[in-house]
Amino acid sequence: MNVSARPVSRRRRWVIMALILIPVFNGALDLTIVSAILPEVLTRLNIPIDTNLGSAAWAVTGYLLAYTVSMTVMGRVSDLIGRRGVYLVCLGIFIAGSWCVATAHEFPTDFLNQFARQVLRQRPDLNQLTLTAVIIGRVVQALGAGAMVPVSMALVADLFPPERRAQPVGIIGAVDTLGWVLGHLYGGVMVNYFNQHGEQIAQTLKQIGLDWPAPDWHTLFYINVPVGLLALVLTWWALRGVEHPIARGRFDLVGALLASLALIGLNVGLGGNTDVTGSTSLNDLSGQPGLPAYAVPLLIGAVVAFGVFLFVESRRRYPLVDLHLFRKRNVSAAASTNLFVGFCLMLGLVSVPLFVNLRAENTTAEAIARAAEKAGILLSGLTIPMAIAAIPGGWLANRIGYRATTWLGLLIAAVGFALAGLTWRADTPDLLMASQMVLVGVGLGLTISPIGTAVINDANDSQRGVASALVIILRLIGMTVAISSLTAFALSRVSYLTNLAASQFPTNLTAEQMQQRAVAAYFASGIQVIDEVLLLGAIICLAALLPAMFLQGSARTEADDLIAERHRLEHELSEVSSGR
Amino acid sequence: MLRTVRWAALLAMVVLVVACAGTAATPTEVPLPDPQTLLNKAAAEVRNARSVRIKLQLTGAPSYVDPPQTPGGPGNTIAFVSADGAYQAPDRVQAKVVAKILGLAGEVDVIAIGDDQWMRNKILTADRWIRQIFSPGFNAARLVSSDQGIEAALKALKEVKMVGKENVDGVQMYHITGKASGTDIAALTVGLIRGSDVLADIYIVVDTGRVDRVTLVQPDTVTEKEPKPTTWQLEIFDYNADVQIVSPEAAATSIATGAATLPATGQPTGAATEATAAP
Repeated sequence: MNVSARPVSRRRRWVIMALILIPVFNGALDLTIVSAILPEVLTRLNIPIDTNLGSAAWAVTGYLLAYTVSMTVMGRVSDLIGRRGVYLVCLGIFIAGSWCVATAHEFPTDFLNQFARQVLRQRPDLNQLTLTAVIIGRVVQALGAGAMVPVSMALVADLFPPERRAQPVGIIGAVDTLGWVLGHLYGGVMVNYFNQHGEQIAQTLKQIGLDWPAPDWHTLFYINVPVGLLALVLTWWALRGVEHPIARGRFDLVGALLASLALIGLNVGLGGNTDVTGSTSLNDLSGQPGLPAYAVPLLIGAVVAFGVFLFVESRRRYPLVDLHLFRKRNVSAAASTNLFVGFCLMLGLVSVPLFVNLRAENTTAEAIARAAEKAGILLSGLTIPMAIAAIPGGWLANRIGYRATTWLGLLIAAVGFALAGLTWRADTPDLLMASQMVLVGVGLGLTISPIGTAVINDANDSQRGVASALVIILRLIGMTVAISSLTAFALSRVSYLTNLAASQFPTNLTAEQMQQRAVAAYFASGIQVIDEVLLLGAIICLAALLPAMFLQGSARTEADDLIAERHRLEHELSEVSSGR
Repeated sequence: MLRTVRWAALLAMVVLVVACAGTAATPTEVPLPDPQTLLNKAAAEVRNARSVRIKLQLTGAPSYVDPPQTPGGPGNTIAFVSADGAYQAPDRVQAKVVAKILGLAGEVDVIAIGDDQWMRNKILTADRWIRQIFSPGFNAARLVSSDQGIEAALKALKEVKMVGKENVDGVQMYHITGKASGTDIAALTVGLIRGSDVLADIYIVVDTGRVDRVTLVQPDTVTEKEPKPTTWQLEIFDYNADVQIVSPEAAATSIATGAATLPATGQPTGAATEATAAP
């Protein structure tokens, strides 16, 4: 592949960079936007939260899963058929997915209704169909968004000479991180703002001739459409005439299918979904803690698909994933550690909104919207320190090495999770919860730089991009597995604990007394399960110490050593010349 | 390239087929029957049925179960969303009801036998059946009674017109329209429709003469805040299917004596109609 810099002016390069960053930010924002607003979405769709949380979790899991698959596949596709086309098509897919989510209650629901009635011969519940349409839209969004980061990175390689790539690549990484770090805060704050001022905004718009409905959660997805279309047109224009190198070889379709099958089988098997179209998902789980009936065959299928994937990849001339990379000790150790880090990160991202919603002051729509905002703010206590801690993490990796820095981070995160699991109660102050989330965030943030740098420095020049992407993909897989397995675990555990408490109710209760006790039992069970999940986070952080143990070396390079030597000599020289 | 074009053409055809296979009217040369006669026959079918499945869904502006707000007092706090259930003659109903209480949707399983009612909810009753009146005054027998039930509601329609014979979801149906006051056809929505005028679209299966679905639109519910009118979609199907609705206590007893199987939840739910409840 010809990777030399194109004859593109410096100014134009940065214009292109600015344009491709818009969808990168949007896609990353939508990765976490739903985690805080999911209860609000369910409320607006008339979906009972108590019986549909398992199905609704697919709005998060589906996005993560599709994002991961797309990230794995589309970089290679762009190598083969050109960046511009792939970038624009994927941006178009993201816009279409956003439109599908925003209008889920209209055309997509009607289409699914016709399909269910005419093809499946069913009489579906329209609100359930709308939820399904939201999930499908989220998956479509993610298939487009997942491609943005790898294809943007590859575009940088097309546009900039090797010695000038670090800065734009760093900017893409920073914008991507900024997006998913702010997603839940943006979602939570906006949903509460719309709830309070939506009618007012609609009135103001009407005065200027725009007869639009009051903004609500749909608006967060509608916004992606004009912004995405603008970026699409401008990027199409900006990339005109830019030479697109085409790599040799073929696309590893079999590898891509096997990897996707393994990922989907693993997530569905772990119980990320109970029944997307069913209305009794929680009831199905009642009294049956553990995996649903279809889980074992699916998990076996996932293991088989993964095994075949490894076999196929080891024999391909142009594999989707170059397995030789894992022979590098640091690549293997960093990738495995990041799997655990992703799991813990998602565990934090899910626990906070659940906890906040559980102890919302009441169950009115206004209270749910306020809870979304509070969840967003509390989650920032995790994500913003995490992003900031990446900087001292890099400095520490220089000084004390990859392993020690990663261990330090994991231990701090374990302490944060343990404190949260031991102290979160119905009346725990928000400030205390936030401070514990800061610990978790700082801890996980400290691991980012040593893990990333260990891989980059251990891989060959030609493998660095692929190796870095692999590490990110494994973190995403950890996040995906976390949400699917934890959703099933939490729902079944709450049901089990509630039933256990209910079995000890006195038999002579009136209906009213029964209801009061049942609500109290459900609330107590919910709090207990979230505490258990947080303690599990501490255990997973400790388990991650094991793969991290195999990290070796430090971020200090030969160049760093030479610079240090030069500084030492200059210092000695100045001392000599000053006559000391 | 050619393969891509073929696939695109195939996809376009599939989309077209799905899009066009909706409720398009099919021209017919056979004279259409009198709509009122069809309605009377359909009403009799409901009255004489041993059992039916009933599905009721509401879209558009909300319809509240409790009365409107009075100055200084509560009101309009419980909004109906949907119900999916079964009726067993003469006076038994079991349904899964979704309603929004103070804005938050919840799902409640309900059994009504005569004047007795039981309810079950994941949070409110810890997923156990308790004997409690869920819908005051409701009696399943009235659903099919000739003077207050679905039969009376169908007969109360005015300006009844035959639109034609249509293919609805692959089944030939007569499409009839009519108008009525909400009070007269309240039985079609288990008493939830209030006084306003209603536009009705009724679909009757050609082969059986049975009502399959009724769409009720309340145009005067449109407001600036709720631009879409309250629309009720009632579906009646699975006539005379094998349905057995028993009280939770009776089911628990039969389970204890080995006369019934344990439902999937692992608890004696008492709902011998579990199999009929889910669509």
